[in-house]
Amino acid sequence: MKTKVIFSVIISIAIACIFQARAQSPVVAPPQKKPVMLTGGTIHTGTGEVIENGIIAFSAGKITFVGKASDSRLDRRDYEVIDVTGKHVYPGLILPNTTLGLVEISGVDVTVDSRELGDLNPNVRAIVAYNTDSHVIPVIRSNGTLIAQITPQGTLLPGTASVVQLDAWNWKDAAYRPDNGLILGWPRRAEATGRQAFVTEAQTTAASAQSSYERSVEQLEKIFTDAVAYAAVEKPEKTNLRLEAMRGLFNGSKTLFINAQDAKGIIAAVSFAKRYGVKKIVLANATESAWEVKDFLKENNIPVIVANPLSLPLYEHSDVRMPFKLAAMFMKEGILTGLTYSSMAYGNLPFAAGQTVAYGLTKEEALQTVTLNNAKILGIDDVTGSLEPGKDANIVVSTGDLLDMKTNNVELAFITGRNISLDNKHKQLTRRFKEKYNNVNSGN
Amino acid sequence: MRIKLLFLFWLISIAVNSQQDYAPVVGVSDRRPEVYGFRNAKVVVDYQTTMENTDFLVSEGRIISVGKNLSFPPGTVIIDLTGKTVYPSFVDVYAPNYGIRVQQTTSGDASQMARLVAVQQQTGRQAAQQPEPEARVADYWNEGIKASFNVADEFIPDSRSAGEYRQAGFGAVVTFKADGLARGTSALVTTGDGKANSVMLKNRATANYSFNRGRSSDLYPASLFGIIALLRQFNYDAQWYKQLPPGYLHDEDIEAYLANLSLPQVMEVRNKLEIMRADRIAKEFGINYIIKGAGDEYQALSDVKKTGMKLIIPVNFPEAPDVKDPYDAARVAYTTLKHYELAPSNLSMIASTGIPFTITSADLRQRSSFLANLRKAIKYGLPETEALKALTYTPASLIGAADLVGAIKKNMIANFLITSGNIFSDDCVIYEHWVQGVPYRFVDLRLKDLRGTYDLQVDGEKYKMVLSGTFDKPAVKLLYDTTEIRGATFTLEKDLVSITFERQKIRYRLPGYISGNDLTGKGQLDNGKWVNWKATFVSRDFEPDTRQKRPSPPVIKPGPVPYPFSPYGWIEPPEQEDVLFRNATVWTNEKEGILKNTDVLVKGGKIAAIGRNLSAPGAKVIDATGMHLTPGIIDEHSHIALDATNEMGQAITSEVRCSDVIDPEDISIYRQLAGGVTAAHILHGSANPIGGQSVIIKHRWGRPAEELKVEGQVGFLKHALGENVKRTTTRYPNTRMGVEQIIRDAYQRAVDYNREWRTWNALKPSERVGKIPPRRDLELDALVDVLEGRSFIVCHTYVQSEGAMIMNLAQEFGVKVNTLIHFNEGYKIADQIKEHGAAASVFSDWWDYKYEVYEGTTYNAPMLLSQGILTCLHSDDAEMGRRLNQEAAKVIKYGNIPEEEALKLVTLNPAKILHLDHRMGSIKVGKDADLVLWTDNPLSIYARANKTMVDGVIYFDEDIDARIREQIANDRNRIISNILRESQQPSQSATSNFPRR
Repeated sequence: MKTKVIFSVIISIAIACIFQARAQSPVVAPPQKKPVMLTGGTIHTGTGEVIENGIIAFSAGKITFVGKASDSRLDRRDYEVIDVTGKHVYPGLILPNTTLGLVEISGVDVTVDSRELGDLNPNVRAIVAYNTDSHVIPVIRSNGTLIAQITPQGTLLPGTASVVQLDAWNWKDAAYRPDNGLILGWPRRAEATGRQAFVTEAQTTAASAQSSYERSVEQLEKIFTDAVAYAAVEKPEKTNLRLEAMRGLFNGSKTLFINAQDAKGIIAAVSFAKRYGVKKIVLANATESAWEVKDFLKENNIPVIVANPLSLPLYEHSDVRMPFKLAAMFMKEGILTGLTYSSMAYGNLPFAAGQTVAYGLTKEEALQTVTLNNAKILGIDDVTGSLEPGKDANIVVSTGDLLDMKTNNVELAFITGRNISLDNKHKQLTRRFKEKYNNVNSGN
Repeated sequence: MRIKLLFLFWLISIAVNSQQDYAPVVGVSDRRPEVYGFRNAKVVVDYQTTMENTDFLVSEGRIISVGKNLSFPPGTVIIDLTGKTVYPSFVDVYAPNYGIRVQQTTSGDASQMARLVAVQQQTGRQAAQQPEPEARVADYWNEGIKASFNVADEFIPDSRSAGEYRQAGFGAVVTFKADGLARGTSALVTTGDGKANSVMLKNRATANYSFNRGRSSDLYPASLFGIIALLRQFNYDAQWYKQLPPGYLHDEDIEAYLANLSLPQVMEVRNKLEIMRADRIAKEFGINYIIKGAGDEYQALSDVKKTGMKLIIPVNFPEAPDVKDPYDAARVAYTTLKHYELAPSNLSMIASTGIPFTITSADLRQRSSFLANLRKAIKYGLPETEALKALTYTPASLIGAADLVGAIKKNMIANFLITSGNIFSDDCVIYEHWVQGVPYRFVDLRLKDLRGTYDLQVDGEKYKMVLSGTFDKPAVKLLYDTTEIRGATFTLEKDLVSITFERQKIRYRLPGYISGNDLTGKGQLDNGKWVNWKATFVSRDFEPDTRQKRPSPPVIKPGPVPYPFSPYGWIEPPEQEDVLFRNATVWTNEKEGILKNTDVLVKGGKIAAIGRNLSAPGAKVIDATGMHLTPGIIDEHSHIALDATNEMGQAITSEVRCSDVIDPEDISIYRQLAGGVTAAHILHGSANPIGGQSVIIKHRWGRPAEELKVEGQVGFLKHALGENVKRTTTRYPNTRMGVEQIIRDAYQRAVDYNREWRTWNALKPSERVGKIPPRRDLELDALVDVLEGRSFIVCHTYVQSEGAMIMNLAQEFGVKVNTLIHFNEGYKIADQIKEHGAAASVFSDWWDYKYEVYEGTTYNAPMLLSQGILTCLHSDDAEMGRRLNQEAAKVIKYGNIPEEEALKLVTLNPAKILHLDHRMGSIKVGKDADLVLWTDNPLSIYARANKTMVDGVIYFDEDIDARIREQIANDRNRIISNILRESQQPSQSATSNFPRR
């Protein structure tokens, strides 16, 4: 009964959209007013646990109960009950290291707000440029992603990242854990790869790359030295925005997300950060290079975010399926492993995780990479990442397996208990042109 | 020091040079006899014949006679060569730019293009829209063709390079200007220092060509397939030119090209794949190319041999990659490592096939490393006779000059090397190189050999002195009693000698001279006292000098050559076999639908039977229980396995053919197989309104380019609209309005051209007399093919306006668009597509990356399908291409279509769109055995391709893949460890290769 009410709301929103001349971002869901109970579903908690015929309840945006229906003593009359029997319930997926909301159309320069001029921009903040009305956001959340870490791009210190939730009127209410990540783009070390490259030429290029590498590292040494000294003073006489932005690295309020390309670069970058007393360090773009230094990462307790598994191997001689296998390989080493996805079609994070299953992870482990593990890595596991009482009610309901495109079909999604719209530009355009053909056909 | 010495020799040689000179005498003439008689040499007369204790006579720059106990005429300068070996000088038929001053302003294709584009951008849009015709001489319309160039017009001997050639053993070389696709003619010249007219032995020795556009102010061609298209068009233009009546058109380049076709035609390639590409042009036009190779021929030797072309091969072996750091070593490409270890075996492998070849010193960073590398090739198995033949007889006869150079025989040019012995052994010393009867000395044979033991008397004291080392630079060892005096020196300068040493804090400086067998003179001590000294010859005894001898690195037996030359290339290629897949879930794509527990029998590369409990004696049985068998995935739109993507030089380039530049070594082919993809339509990029002719390949990994092509395919011509074609602000078109006009104009020209040909073809031979025949235009031919239904339009399009435009335009010309590619907004005009009858090849979910895809949706494919349009999914991407099964599954998600229909989006539907469904796209008896065995439902993300078969050959197998991975890892380790061990040896490449020791 209640389900029907919910659907009628959705349908009325949908109909409203039909009459929009151009695509519009859907209306933002209001705060959760009444406790909600999802019953009968298969609950994938994100911690590795699966609860068949489970119940999940949430109230005022927080999860209050997760468990087997048989264990529940909740009074259904207190809840808006939604029957999700036969369906699957997941924590909302978390997309790290993305330019969502910063880039609307990558091919149109003026819609790109992800890369500031210069190399030392720790102070620029992704959050203030985050466009909640981006048409991309509703597309990706309708496949199950509800939280994202929006991240400035570039070399050395491109800026400060924030975690946002994906249903908001403005960046201020989107901010989920603002300004808690600083990005370090470690410069590329010299390399000697290529197909039958002439070695002397490669060495010349390598030599110039090496000197540019050293110059870049020197820039980083300088700014980190200055930042450490600056951070020692609580209220400096003269405020320096750049150094101020780095203060959090040394007291643990900000995590350093390292993007480093090659094996030795990873060791260099992590060692560098540790030498300056950075408290929290993450390798944000783990590829086959990171696997080459897995022991180092393990010894230093560095979590990794596996860069897009749906990508080509690093080398021609690599295992053809290496990117698919990496998540399982890291996880089996006991390294905290998250996973992300970035490409022209943003909605594929669940499938990037699902891809790892045929290559070594269990389905629940794969889910964990993009839920609880990503939450831990982003420092938000206190409020989200798994379906556990006390955490925010960030929940996705799919009619089938969320990680497999064949069955992924998100019917319901809640962000802090708010039942968000799953409409998006693609659906709107499709409805609009279905009308065209219906009219044409009825005209006949 | 050595370099200084060399310069000295050059100067000397210029001074003594006296060659043919017919200029009037100025002052008192100085013509000398210059008759030289050589006694008692071991003479290598030619590569087959060696004569011991032989004499020969040289005069006027020629060999007068060769024989035993010759009697030399009075006045002959007699030179005793006892114990010496004389070789004919080498001949290099490939000496790019020798004696040619090359303008340094531009080089290389990429930088050239970048510069031109930059210039165009500066000159701005207006200029580009109406390009001013450039003032030109009466030559070919494209500046890349320089067939009328004759090297004699610019050749001036360059003594520095000449010295380098002589030092490497070359007495005659064929010089040409290395610029452009058709480079004009070369000349055979000696490496003597003289005037151009005295060193030139034969002008117009060869006509030269390449795939390198060189210096050209034309933007076109800017890609390899554009270059090949231009070479082809040039040949057709030459054929047409021959039929033109006099006075109609004059073209210097074509005239010269036709005139020089009788010369040896030398084509330079940059890698072995281009040998096969050159061969295709050769066969098309009946040309016999001689190929100047790149040194990697061993990587495709049987393909090279099949071309039947002769080769000119460099010895440019790569230096060892830097593997000191294991992390850096991990990044070195496998092909780099393999080429490093295998390149020195290239010549030996070529020789063993019997392909005629010559050796060139071209492509070396320093010509001085030639002999060292040649000797390395011999250590790696090149027989010495073959080497000598390839340096003398073969190059000489290749250019019809075997009567002039390449042997020491009567009347031939007096080009020879006087050496200490076998020229192919490391310790051989070249003393002198005589070119046209003029000596160029590296070690002065006229010096007296002083080596031996002496008693030295100075200032009342007696010493023992031993001179050892080489005879031109003896080393000294001085003993007082039995104690060696350190720091003693000995220098020899013609007849003068000098000894210095220090004993008991007295410094001895002893200049002197050779006196019979002894040395004597007057020296001074550092206290100012003058003393007489004398070294009396005691005996010939001296310890042979071992300091200079470096152990050459041991020859390490090279590993196998993978084919294709790539990681995952085969050492043992898989073969076609009869296979029975037992008990699979079979997705037939036919009316039978999905069959459970079914067997499929493959025989002779075809599907032979489908059913239960099939028996097939002799067939390999694969237990497919629990697995799914599907037709191979066909990627309708891809750019893998091509050595070019866009020909940016012009907007309409329908003459360009992808089939010319297939790269069978692209690792993408193997990666696609690992994703169950068995075939791909590979296309020209989308930079041009009309781009080029595409080709359909099967992923027969390990077959040469020609064998990748799907047999009997129809033609497809790439068209493109929208942002990609209009973004170059300096090139027409800049708007979608202009796009329509330029395509319309091209087809209109094709219609007129076709009519012109029809009219011509209808004429009787008698009626053709005096008429101008139409010119064959490959650009328009490709469009006529479309107009006449032999080829089909595939069109890259995104927004609805342009999609409708191209369909309307095609209709006006009486044809249909076969495929609308990408067409993200296809859903907006599905009715028009349906009416027109086009098919759609689209992405499942790409959108948003540029403005023209901002209205793309994930529901496009389902919308098109629901309107009854033949639709398929494509990748356009080497990564996503290997997961097309998952892209198909997305259409289930977004369109709620049945699984069977979803799979057809990447199998049967692309086969239909590509007109290949009669043999591909479904599992049906008689169709090609292009099959994939999946571990799970192929539309599930949890499925892996376990085996992928093309034409009954299993090219990908998870188990074999694991084994190959291990092989690659082992092979890498082996080569890296060899490099590490070699680098502990004295570096070979670091030594100067001055040919003495």
